[in-house]
Amino acid sequence: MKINNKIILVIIFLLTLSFRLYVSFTNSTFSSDDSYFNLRVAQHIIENKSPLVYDELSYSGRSFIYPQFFNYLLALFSFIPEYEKIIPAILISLMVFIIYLISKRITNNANASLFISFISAFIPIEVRTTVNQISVYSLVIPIILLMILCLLNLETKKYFNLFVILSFLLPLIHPISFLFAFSLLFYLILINTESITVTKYKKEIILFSFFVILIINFFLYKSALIKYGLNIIWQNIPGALFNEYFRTFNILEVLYLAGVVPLILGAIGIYTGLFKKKDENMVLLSSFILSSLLLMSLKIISLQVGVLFISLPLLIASSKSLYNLYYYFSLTKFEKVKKYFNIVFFIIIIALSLIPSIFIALSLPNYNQDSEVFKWLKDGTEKNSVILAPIELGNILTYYSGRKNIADNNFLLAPNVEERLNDIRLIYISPFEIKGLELIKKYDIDYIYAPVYYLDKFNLQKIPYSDDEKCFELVRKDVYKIKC
Amino acid sequence: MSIKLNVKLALTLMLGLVFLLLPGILKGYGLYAGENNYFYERVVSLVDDNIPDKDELSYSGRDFNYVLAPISVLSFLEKILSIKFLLIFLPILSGLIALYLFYLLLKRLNLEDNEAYLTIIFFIISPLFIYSFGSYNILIFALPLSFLALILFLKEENKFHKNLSLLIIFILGFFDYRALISVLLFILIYLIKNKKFKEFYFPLIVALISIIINYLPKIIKHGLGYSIKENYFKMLISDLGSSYGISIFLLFFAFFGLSYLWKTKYKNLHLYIAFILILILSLLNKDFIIYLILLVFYLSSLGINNLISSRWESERIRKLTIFLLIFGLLFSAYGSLSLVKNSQPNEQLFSALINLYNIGSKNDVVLSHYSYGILINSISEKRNIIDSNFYYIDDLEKRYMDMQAIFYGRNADLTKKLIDKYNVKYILITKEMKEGLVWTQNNEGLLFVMQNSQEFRKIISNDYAEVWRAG
Repeated sequence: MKINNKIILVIIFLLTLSFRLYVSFTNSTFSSDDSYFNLRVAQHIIENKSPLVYDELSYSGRSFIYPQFFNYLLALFSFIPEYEKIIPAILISLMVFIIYLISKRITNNANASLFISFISAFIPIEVRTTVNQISVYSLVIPIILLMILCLLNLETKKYFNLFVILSFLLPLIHPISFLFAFSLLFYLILINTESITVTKYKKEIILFSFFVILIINFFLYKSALIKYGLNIIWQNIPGALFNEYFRTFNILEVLYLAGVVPLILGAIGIYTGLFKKKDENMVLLSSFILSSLLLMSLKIISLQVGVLFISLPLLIASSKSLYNLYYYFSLTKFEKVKKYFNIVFFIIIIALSLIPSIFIALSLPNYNQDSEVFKWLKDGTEKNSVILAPIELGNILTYYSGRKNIADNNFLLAPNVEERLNDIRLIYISPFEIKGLELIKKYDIDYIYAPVYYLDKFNLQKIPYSDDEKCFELVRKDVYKIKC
Repeated sequence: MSIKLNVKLALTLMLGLVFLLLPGILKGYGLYAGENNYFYERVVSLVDDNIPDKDELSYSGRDFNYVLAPISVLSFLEKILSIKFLLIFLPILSGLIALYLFYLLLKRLNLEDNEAYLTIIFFIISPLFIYSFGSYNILIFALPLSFLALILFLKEENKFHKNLSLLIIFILGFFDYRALISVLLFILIYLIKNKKFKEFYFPLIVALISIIINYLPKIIKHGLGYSIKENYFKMLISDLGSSYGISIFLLFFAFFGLSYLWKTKYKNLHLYIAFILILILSLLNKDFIIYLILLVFYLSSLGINNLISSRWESERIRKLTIFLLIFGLLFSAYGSLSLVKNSQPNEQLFSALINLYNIGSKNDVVLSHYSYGILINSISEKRNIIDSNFYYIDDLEKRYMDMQAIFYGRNADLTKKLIDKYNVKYILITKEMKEGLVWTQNNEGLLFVMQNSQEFRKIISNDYAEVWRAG
């Protein structure tokens, strides 16, 4: 039976990996601008054997701070063909094993754990964030889950050591480590208020982890801290994009993104675990949910990241509900229907998790048209050219064309973000040629990429003043060369 | 035991001496670290037998309403010793005295030896120590006098000491009202704790008289005035660039110290109240941060002492936590030393200012960021529009806003109009100004205007500083 469970788990892993690789390999481009940023950093590491601290192309040259452990990891496996697609897919697929182990630790029930492990591969928000993308969350999610697993097994030396190591590692991967640190703090507060006894050992390691994460982040972001002060928590995101990044959420959207099954079963699991049994494990999971909700409502993390870190603990808590259900079956005459229940539940998962996830994966954006244009720009323009493109294409532009952009979505330490964003918008929509040319001169722009779908947002078919042949030459569809 | 203690104290003072000598060693080239020494060197030269009414260079002419006591002391001693020697020697001497008095004060407050020494060591390696005693400024008087006043006041049995303490409180008002208020606050809390509130009236009255004599005329004439807004956390945390703030790692230790105190709940209520009150004062006036930090040193020493002596379930984690925090603290101290090393003026700025000194006349006005104002007065002997002596300047807000308009405006006509308003003849631009102090881009505001207008001509230039002639 044990062997069977392991085989099932491996099958789930292979299924997850296949799904992700299939989507990746059927797309010729990645589905996010950030992927190209991560890829460029990894390639920089491969070529220069050093992290990227000054980017000549982004914002036409700017200093840069970002923990680059994930990019180093990618670079390490660059000997594998198509490593940029394979490695992130493998990393995030490993999550199914960790989820299984956590659920097993909480419930001691293999069936429930296997179900939860299967669902974890198809959480809509997680699919949207990581499938066909080089996303740092492909590494962050398994690491955080692994840390949760370690926290649940601290009495075992190997988990204890692993937790210490991961406490150092997590802040080197992504600033979301702050969320983990605050969740631990929440956990300590919750166990105190709920009068739950936790070993001193655990409190000490939590305190240690909290300090490590804070200190490493402090060293990493010191220059940004000096520049922005406490405003760093908003990552220098310009006002114009602030509401888009930190939009408020509605319950239906959360239901859709987090998945119906984890949300309902998770909520029940948390409720029974927290309020009826004062289960320490449920308190730990609740602290992650609460801190995500708090940071989301304070607009410190985006809706997407917030929902992602709510759905995972909810999913784990679902295992408790499932276990309770199985336990109920075993105590009653329903024991016989357990087999049928498993089948029905499996169908429900397919209907409410798998199918929506497949739809999401198939509807992920692609940048085929843009990438073709940028590849052409690489061959058809001078090496020092400055190219204007919409900010959401900034990293794709620099990756494919190797040319300087005016702005992209790496805002931290970027120069005059607010002003640049406004200027970019004005260049595209201003009815006045003088204004447009003044701004074009301001940034020494040589080419403008004005895709129709972008201009559509402003109800425009082209840049209003681009008919002036003395100054603008349409060198390719949607690409203007500046001549004056 | 007594010999052992003295050795400890001597070693601590030696460490203090090393840190006090560092600014001079790190700066080199015969330059002072920061603007204070330059300021006092210049203003003392303005004082003959009488205090002048006006300073013609600062703010292109302002009332001579500086804190007079440190100027008078320097002016008096200058008669027998060289001013350059005094500017270096007095802060070092004062620093050592302050450390010794601080130690005595902590002992009088019945701190354990370990706690007292740790508190002093935290003080020595903090940026505050070099900020206070790295150059001639009011703090080289205010801090030792504050410590002395408290030591004497706490000697309850001796009336002579109490009276001497009142005299020092009175004198303290001539140097720094913030030190005076902090001392008063400390005495108040001490007396309330010991149920001797009635004894508070004497120091209060003496302090009020001192404040009235020293500050009331100036406040009546100029009002409380406008102050340049600065980010509180940036001023509080040295790792965020503050020249006298506290290291974030020391705050962590302070957290452990507070949690240790909290074990006895409200037994240390007076300490919490003192902490909260000084915190509030520091929010109202950032210069009180200095006195808040002194309290944090004590909490931090409690914290580290507690961390070292407490029993943890995991010895490895305890050691790792202590190691991490101490490593961070040392790293932070190193950071504050590099702040001293990079403090203004550097060799190139000094050279540019000396070149400027050789051009034009004393009446010429130089525009720059306010942090260079005193250096412009002292090294180039030219007038500035604004400098960091903000107190009692009636039109400070207007001047500050105009500076902002000049620095960030791209309209050449408007810039010219403002430059003419202040009769600006030269503009000093530094690398620091271009790299975040004022601008972040090479074509921003005034930089754009200067590059594209024939009204401006670069006359001095090196790798760090450039001087433009306007008109």
